[in-house]
Amino acid sequence: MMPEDSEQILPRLVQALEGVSRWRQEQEEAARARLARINDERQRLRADIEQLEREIETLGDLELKVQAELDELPRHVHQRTRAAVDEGINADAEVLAERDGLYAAALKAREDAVAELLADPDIARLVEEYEQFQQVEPTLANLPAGYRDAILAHHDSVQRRLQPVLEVAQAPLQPVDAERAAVTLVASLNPMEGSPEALALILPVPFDIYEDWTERNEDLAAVLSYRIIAATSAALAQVGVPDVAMQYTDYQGKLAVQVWFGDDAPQGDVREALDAQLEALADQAGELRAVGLDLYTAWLDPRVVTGEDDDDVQASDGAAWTPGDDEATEAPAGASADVPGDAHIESEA
Amino acid sequence: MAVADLFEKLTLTQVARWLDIHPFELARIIGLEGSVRPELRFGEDEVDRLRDIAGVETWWTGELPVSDDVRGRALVRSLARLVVEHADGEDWSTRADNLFRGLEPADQWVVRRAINQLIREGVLVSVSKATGLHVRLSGDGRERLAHIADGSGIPESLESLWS
Repeated sequence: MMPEDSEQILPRLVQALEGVSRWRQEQEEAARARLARINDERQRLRADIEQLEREIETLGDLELKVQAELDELPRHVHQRTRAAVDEGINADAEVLAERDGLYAAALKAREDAVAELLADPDIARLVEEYEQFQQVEPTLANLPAGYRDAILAHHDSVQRRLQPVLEVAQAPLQPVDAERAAVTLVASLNPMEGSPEALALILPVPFDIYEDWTERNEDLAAVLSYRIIAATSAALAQVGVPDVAMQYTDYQGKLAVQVWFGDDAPQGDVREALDAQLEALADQAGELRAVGLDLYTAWLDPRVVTGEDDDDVQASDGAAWTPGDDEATEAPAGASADVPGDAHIESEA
Repeated sequence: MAVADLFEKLTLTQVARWLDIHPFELARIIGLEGSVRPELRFGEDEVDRLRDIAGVETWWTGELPVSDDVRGRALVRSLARLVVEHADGEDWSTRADNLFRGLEPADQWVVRRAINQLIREGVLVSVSKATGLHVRLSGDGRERLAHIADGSGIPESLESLWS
């Protein structure tokens, strides 16, 4: 028993045990507080995870949408390219039509120079003699040699004196004063890589240059068509297939040229050969230089040129062009249809 | 003709009209020259050379070489005769339009259809060339054309042209 009036003194052991009890209480409180914070953090993280999962799900939807857009990109590129080609060809055709006025002016300037010389009475008299000679030329053989020689000598003299007229009439076209302009030739090889089966060109000129050539004047568009066909012919000869079939078709009112190689595999790079010929054309064709017109070539995916359905654009290997059936193309006046194989010379329509 | 025309060179279209071929065919031939002309103009002295390169010939002149009571049959038999006469070797071929150049439009219509039918029948074979579309004889083409020309072997398919 402890004394009543004396200060209570706890034994050291009890004090130690009480210390342990306080420490335990403090530790427990601290641990419970940490557990509470951990739990809060866990709940917060779970909430964050739920939010992130929702965001991931949203990203998944977005990914599908973007992937679909990516899948659709070739189709959109195809559509936009076709639209650009159609718009560009029409715009280039307008440029060509504008330049045709300059071409006509350049031709007229040369004709006027000739007319000015012909207005000289002395020249006019020589021309009259020149024309009279042309009329009697077929009968010269019937004349005695002396007369014939005299007439021929006089005609030589007339020709020499008319030489200045001839030189003016056949002088290069003088460049007109105008800003330079440019038009584009659309070109395409199918397939784009490897040995080509076909070549297609779209010119910024009306198709009726082919179909109704007998009704048209030879304007700048016609000259450009002839030039490009000549350049194509030269390129085909260069790659060893000069005789390959060439067809002319209507591409939305514009002239398209199609070359089918068939069994005649080109022995060279068709694109390189054609580019070289077109470059020479652009540099040397007097008609283009006179009107300040440059010619560019745009090499495009064959599907753009063939105007395939959009569904076909998804195919990575490209759909093959196929020549028309064996019914020959209807030929315009003065032409036989240029068709491959055992086709007919022309339609009977 | 205007006086100035005496001195100016011909355009490609004018030469094509002169040769009775399509200007695109002439342009293709010009391309074979290998160099770019400063201007697409041609002297009259070039026309004959271009005609030779193009292989332009006019077979139909004057009376038909074979007479027949039926005009269409006369034309077809004459066509056969003309081809046999002109086909002078195994390598022979000629421009397809030579087979009807020189005929009146109505007669051309018949002959063109006959040529198409002869190609379908395997008597003639069409051949693509840089100078234009050509035709040549098939293996037994000469013999079959000879029978058509003398009237002893005209295919039924051709008879529809005049019946």
